[in-house]
Amino acid sequence: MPRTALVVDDSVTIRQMVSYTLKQAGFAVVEAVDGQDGLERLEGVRLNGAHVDLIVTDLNMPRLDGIGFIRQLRGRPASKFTPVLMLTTESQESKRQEGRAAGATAWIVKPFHPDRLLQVVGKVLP
Amino acid sequence: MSLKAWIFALGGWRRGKRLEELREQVAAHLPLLPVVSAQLRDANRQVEQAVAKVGANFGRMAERAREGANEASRILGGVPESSGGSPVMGIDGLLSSSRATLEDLLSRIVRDGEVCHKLAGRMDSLERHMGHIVKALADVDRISFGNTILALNAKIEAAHMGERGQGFELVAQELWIQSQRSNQITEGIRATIAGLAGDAKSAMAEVGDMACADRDRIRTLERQVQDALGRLERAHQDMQESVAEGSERNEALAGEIAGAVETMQFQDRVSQQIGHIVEALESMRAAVAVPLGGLGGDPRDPHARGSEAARLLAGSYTMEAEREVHATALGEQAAGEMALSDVEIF
Amino acid sequence: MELDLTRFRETFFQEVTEHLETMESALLSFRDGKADGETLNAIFRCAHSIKAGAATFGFEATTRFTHVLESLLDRMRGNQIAPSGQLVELLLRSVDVLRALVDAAARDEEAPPVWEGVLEELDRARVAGEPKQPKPAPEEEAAPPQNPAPAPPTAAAYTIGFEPAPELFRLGLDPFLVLRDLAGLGSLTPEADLSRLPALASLDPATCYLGWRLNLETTAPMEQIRDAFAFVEDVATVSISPVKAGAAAPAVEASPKPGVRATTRETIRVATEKVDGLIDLVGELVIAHSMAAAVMNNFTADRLPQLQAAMGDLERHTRELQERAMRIRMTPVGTIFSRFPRLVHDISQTLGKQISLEIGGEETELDKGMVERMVDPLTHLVRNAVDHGIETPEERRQAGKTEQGTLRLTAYHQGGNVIVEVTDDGRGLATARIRSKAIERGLISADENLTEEQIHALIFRPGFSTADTVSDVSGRGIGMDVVKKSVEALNGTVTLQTAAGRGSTIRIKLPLTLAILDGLLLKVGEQTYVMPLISIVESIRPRQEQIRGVAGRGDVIVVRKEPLQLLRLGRIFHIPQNGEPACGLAVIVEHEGRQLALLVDELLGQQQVVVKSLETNFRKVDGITGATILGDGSAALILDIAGIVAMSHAA
Repeated sequence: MPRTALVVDDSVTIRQMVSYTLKQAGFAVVEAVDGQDGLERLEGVRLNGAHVDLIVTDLNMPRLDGIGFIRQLRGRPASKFTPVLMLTTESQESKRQEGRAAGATAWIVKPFHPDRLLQVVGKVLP
Repeated sequence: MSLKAWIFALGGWRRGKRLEELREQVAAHLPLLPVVSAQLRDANRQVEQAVAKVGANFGRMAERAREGANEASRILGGVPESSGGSPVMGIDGLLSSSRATLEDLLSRIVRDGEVCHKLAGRMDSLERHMGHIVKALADVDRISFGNTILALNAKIEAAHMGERGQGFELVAQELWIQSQRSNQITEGIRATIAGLAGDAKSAMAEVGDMACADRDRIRTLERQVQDALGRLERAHQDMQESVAEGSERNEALAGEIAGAVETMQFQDRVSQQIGHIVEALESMRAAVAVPLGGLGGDPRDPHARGSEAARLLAGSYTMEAEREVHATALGEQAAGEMALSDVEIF
Repeated sequence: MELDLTRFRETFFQEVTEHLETMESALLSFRDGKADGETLNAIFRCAHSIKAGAATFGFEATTRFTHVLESLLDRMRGNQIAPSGQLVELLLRSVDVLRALVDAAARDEEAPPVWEGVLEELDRARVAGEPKQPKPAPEEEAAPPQNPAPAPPTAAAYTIGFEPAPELFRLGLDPFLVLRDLAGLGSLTPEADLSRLPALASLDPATCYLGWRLNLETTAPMEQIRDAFAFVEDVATVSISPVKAGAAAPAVEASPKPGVRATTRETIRVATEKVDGLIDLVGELVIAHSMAAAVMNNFTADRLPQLQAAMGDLERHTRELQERAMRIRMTPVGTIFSRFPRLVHDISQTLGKQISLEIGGEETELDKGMVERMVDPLTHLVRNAVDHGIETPEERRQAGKTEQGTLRLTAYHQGGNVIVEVTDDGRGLATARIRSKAIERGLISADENLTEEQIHALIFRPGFSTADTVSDVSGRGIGMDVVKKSVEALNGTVTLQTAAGRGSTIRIKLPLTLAILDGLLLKVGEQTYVMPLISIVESIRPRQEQIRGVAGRGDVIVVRKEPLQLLRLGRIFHIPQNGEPACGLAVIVEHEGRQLALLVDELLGQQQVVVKSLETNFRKVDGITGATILGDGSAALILDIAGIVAMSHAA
């Protein structure tokens, strides 16, 4: 059974790079363009009887940004304990702490090398 | 009116004129800010699309490389029974079993060679036995000689003893006969042995020939099998090397793609920067528009379209896309290809 | 007819054990830097032998494995691949795997799966000449080094405290993953702290109550240990402190086995039950002895029966011990019988005959030394039977027999001997024919009266039959007398029983061991000697007139009109003998087809003696094949007829 990841980012490039890397590592990837879209996708997966093993999300997104998205995630039973990876830029220290407070599991700095992404994934997933 | 008042009024009139000129100039440029923003946004969008295309290609490349590696692996290693499909013996497996067969053949050949060799050895021991027999013959010789002597002795004694030796004479006689007999027997044995030796020698020669012939044939076979094994080995090596090379190339490719993945993310950064610039332009416009009061900066103001600044800007374009963005921003035409939603009018 | 191979499986497994030991010692000698060119050859040969055996018994996994191992070793001894340290380790691991494979094969079980992985490694090494390191999976990749200077790779111990905050789970974090990462760095001993764990009723599954105290032994640098806590550091209390280096666990190195013995010594394989039985018996013997000693200590005349009983026990145990000890050297005769089905098949094919080979008594045990020396004589007898003994199907039909002839090879124990019989239902020998041939050959005189056995025995005389008599008489004489010599060299006898038209039986009687001899005790002067019974024809008390001297050639004794050379043992051995020959006794012995007489002073009787070699304890002595200790504790020398004859010629 391949593991499933939800990748949320408004930048098509970033989404693409994250998806590609995770797919290489054997994940099935679901993409969303912002926080709201992410929540809807999550619900869709749950209604199909499947579940998401990993969530990777950007912090700056229209409609529902990363912080808000993470808070909502932690409020839903299906994603209460799911590992959540934040994609942050170097200059966003405070944003990262905010994310952490909202319930993020780990973070990775953009731009990232694919191996680093997989290493971090390895730390939060068995 | 006093001179003071007159100068003051003149100054005011001049200031007003200056202001009027300024107002005209700003009015000419301000509407162009949206055009610049639109251009920035458009450029950003194009870059994003280009990067996205490249990214999609990566996925496909990686997929193809992986398939290629799997294919080579299948051809070389075969498909094991456990994989669910029908098992296929790969080249590796075929080479292994061919090699095993050849080596088995070789060891049989060698073993047969050893048998022939042993056979030749048996012949040698036969020869040795012959030697022993010949030696035994010598013993027999000695005995018969001894017997003869004995008989002679006896006769001599008898002769010496004269009359008294009559009885002994008989014994001596018998001994003599015995000894003659002995000698005959010995001769017979000797002849037998000679015949035996002759037979053995010819038998040995025959077997030796056989063994020789076989030995040569065996050696030829051995050589052929060794050659075949050698060629098999080389073919196997070649195959493994080319598979290894293929693997290395795939790895290199994967590495390069990984590097590119990191680099391509810079597009996102650039995109954000452009976003900031556009925001800055907007606040600039807002900041200027208010004091000039009434200067809405509407790009569709015919004043703007025809202005010097607009003409200068338009003159700098080199691409059709740029002109389209310009025209739409200035409301000149509803550009067919360009959807208005691509450009934000604020 | 296939022989049952199961008993040889035992032998194979024992062999494999030895080979593996040899390989191991040899490989270890590489580690100790004591290897030479011959070492690789030795290892190769072991692998080769194991492969051959495994293939014979159909142990597929072992065969495959050993095959690749052998190829690798071949390249190594051909100097195409150098024996690096890694390679030697790989080979040592292969020896373990091989042991496991053979064990599994012995128990008819599946081979443990690890062997395929090692097989691949061996194969890669064979092709590339350098064993590759297996690639690590991406999740297990080491963290990208932030520190350019790597820490030295010595193992250090750390005490680690890890107390996660209660809300750990709600961040999607799993402390188990941290422990897993730590465990991947070295040897981890965790100890859970359950103090904060509440009663089950009040337990909130979303809250983390656990903490850990851990001991980690690792060669990894501190940064790597810290990295395991990368995303939990801000939501847990983490302390990592190195433990002062106490004695680091010393690497227990098994003392290297003694180097490969250059064995030129002969060794035998013995089933452990035999040795165990022997040991038990020695125990009993000790007990019996002490019982006897007890009786002896407080001996009074009325306790004589007890003494006798104790002595009887002792004697019994000793005898049994002796027999058991002898049997240690015994191996089943089937080991040589096994080659005959093929031989018979081949020859009968070539000659167009149909012959069925029956083998019985393969488990009959024979002294190991004798088993090997029986190969040639037996082969000869079997060949004879197939070549000349059994007729062609045509001939057999005409003779009213079944077209297929039967050749039976049997072995069994009888009394203190082993009997091996080669029986065929072929032509047989006509006694009259033999007799006439013998007369023709001058081996006997026409008027000699011989029993049937004696006539049959003529077959074994050298020069009895030649190539051109083959068609008349079954058996080529060349071989027969050689067979007899070989058997006699083993202190055995061979006889022929035959019936014309019905077949023949060659019966070989061998003593159970070369180490025990049936002998005739005799005295020459004051010295006691033992003459092997097997060589003795008869003994007589010569009358004066039977003895004659031949000038310059020694004495002769006439027995039944035949003059036999008479050797005075006293003279040959330089022992003062009593009196005249007529007062002594003549023992007539047979040697290389002829008879001669030995003059001795007294015959003491027949006895079984244990042969002790003079050669190994002293030196070779002419005319003597060994010595023995008699019941009274004195030593007696065992005579060697051939030697005595030689000495007499020299004298």
